[in-house]
Amino acid sequence: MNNFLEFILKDIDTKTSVLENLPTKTKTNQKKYNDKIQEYTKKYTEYEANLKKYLLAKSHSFELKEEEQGNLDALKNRVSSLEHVKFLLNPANTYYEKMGFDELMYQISNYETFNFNSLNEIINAFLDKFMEAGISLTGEDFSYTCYVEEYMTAFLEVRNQKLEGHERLASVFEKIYWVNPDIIAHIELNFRKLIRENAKRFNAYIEALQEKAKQEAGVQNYLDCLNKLKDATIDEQNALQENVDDIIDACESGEMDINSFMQDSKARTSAYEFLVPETVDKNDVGAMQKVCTVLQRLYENVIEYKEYMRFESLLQKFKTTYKDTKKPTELKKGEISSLHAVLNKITENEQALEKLNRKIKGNRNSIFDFKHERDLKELKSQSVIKAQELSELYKQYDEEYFKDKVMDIISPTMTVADVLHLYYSFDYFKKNALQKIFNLNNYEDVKSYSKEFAEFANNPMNVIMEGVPIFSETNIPKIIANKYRLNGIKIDEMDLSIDNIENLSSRILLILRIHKVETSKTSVEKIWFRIEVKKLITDREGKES
Amino acid sequence: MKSKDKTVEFDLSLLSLEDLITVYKKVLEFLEYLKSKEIVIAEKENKNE
Repeated sequence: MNNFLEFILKDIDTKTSVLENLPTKTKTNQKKYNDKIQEYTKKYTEYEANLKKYLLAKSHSFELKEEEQGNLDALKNRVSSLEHVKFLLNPANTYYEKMGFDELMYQISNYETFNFNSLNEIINAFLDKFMEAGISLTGEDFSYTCYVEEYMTAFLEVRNQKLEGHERLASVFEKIYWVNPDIIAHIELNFRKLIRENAKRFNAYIEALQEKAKQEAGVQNYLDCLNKLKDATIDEQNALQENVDDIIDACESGEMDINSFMQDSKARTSAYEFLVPETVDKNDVGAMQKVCTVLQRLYENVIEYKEYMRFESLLQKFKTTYKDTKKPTELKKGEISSLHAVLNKITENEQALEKLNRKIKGNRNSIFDFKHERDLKELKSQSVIKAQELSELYKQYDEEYFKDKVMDIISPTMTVADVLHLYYSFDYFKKNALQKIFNLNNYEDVKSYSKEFAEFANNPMNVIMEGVPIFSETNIPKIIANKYRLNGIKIDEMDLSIDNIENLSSRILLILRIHKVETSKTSVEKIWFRIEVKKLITDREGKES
Repeated sequence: MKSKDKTVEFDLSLLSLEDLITVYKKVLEFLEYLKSKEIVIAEKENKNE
């Protein structure tokens, strides 16, 4: 006999039989019985040690040498630098979004979800952006209301002297808050006004940034940037693609089940029956390579469609809001746009507010008496009312501003990609829309949805979204299914339904992973062996300790 | 690997990967079995002896 397995099976059988037939009634017999057990244990412990040594050596010989990561960091840096250039060159938005003011505006207008310290952080971030563009603001710039001036003067004093003055600021804030609970909204309005007044300087600053970024990234213009970004993303995705080592790691950690990769596994058989055309010989590596290239594309389309479904409610909302909107006709001479009209109202009201503020200052400086005190109170109250009116006007302005951007691009052939890009370009409106649609009530959730949305909207690999019109009914699952039926893959639109899409994508992935393993230097069996060895030895060591 | 009486040697490389795992499992199972079969001998003398 030269087969160790056969020998062991027979030997265990014999030894079990010997033990079963040994007498154990007397103490002497029991001792003899235990001696026999000791003898067998000694022998089998030797076998176990030798086998373990052999299994580990064999398992080790199956390890793949780690493939070099190559210049992954360089690829990642290239993508992020081109994304930054794209952000700066984006023709859809203005200096306001490129400076990141819309993001800060979202934060300050939702201050009720943040604690007090984070309000100060937002104000600091606003001031930093002004500084970045070479604009240094003083207390006098914050004269929107006397309360804003009082708080911001204290704030700037703490900021400029780099003092730890949160407590002092908190007490100033509290004092003002009980007289004017809308103080934060009014600080926001003051920043809006200052940003508008400094538009030229911000524009110049952004233009300089654009030139610098284009030069550094070797980009000619926006279109050139988009093309280069797509190429860089393809390179990065190729480098990041799951390799056999990743599959092995996932199997070892239990994230994937190697048994589903085995020839006789039900998961494997049913995935192949479902997705590999009957005419294809599954053992023909070349034929399977062709199938896998098609399945890889299908997988990417499925992922894109899943992302679409995630944000479908937002897209539906856009569709219902703007479905019957026609592109406005050219304005006649003397006619102004709704956006311009609101802006004029804002300017008028801000001038009136300034007049009131001057009166307040004049009154404050005059000799104190009862009448003056009463007048001052009245004037302050009028200024708060005026600021409230302006707050409402700015809300109208926001609506008109976004509508204006929509009108720039609206057409019956507008695609989902256009809408995605629109929201991607206007962070303030994107976050507000996500907050409403998904009923989000904390900023961390808003940020996470917003990041996910931006990644989807900004993905240069999206292909389906580029062709789907937003205002028409399009059956995307049907389009995908029909496309791949041409390649002999028998999927139908039901396979892309919300209940089945996970099943479809996991089956595609299983076939792609099996193919990857089977065309590599290792095999499914070797991976299975490595995992079994690791599991058995870990269990054994666990029992021994 | 040498067998119990050192007269026969086994070449483990002849076993398939599946058989290697099976034989190791069998050895471990048998060691567990042996451990469970050991008799705890009472200190008190057995009167039947």
